[in-house]
Amino acid sequence: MQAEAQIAKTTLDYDALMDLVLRIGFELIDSGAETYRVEESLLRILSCYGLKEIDIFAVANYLLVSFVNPDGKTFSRGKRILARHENLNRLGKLNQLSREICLETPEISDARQQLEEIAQLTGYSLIVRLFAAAVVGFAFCLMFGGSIQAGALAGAASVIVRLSIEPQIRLHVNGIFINIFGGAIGALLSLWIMQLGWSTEMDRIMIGIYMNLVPGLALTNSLRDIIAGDYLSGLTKLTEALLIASAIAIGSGMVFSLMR
Amino acid sequence: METILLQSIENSLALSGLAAYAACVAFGLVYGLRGRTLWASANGGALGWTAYKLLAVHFDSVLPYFIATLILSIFSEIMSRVLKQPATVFLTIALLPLVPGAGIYYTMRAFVDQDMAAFATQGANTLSIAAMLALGILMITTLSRIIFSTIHSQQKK
Repeated sequence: MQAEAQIAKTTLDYDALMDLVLRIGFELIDSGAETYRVEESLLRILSCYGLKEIDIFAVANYLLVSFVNPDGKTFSRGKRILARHENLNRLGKLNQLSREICLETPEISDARQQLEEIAQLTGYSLIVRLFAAAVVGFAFCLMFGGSIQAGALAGAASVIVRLSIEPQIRLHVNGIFINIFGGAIGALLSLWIMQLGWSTEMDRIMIGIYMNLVPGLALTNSLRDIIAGDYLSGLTKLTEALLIASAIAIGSGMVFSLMR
Repeated sequence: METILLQSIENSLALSGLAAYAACVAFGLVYGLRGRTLWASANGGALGWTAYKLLAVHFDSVLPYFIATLILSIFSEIMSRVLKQPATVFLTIALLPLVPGAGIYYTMRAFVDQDMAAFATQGANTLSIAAMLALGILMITTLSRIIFSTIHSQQKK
């Protein structure tokens, strides 16, 4: 009721509103939001601006928004999402923004400005991500019973694997190829470590390297989509997770077979 | 699988929990997390992994994965309300230590060695672990949806 009263006072630019929600939806999917979150957030924002007959449809790579304004004019637009750049920090901020928009129904230009600020947020620098890769390799090697020395080697190998796949991620190379490649590099490095006699704990070193590549986000996300009843998105993401997992195994398996 | 479990039990529980914590902080950095959200999700990861390790001593099946997932899911749902962040953020990070990377590796090794019996057992084991994680998330996410939508609809009245 409050929202409707506010809108009666000022005439709303529906094209700008459409632009805004489409952009919020795009950023949400891009950050790695579940499908139901995208649909619910946009539905909530639009209904807070007093619109009726709102229909939102999102899948893992497409978004469709349509609504009817009080004059009876229909607005409908779609947006294709080609690649995702998962960033959980951005996801949290976007979630907060869509709640705030709903509570305060601000001027669209104000909301837009806040959105642009959030969209600017990027992940950590390469150095930090390389450091993170080293810690993941080291920690998982230890968690599976490896020695400190094996952990250090796993960490170093993880950094090289991450360095080798980072340019491909930037070029949006197919995820399956990236992980076949990453798995192969990891296997080569661990075989090399064995040959140099630096360690004998090959399995644990490989597990440390593997954990850098496993599709954790895709797995969790697909499960949550399926639970929410978004089977289409859920299956898309589950397929992605399974293919990535197989790709790591295929890449390293090829190297192990060739080097036997 | 048994061999990994036995070897890892030899390691002290605290060290392993600490390693899980470090791993989760690192995963959080990969996904761009900052501040309290980062530390909270790493706590969830250490909690889930420690629960798994404690249970793995007593149960020789995939059950520990299920219970550990239940625990870390509850933690994620609570933290999501406390820190006003989506539950996925915490869940994604906290679940990562339990994702069967080792299982994928041993399945691949068995295949490369043409040990088809081991390939079948390792593959089935890896898939069951993934299924246990799914089931654990399913239970808690559904429960929290029921609980919070009930609270929400009662507030509206």
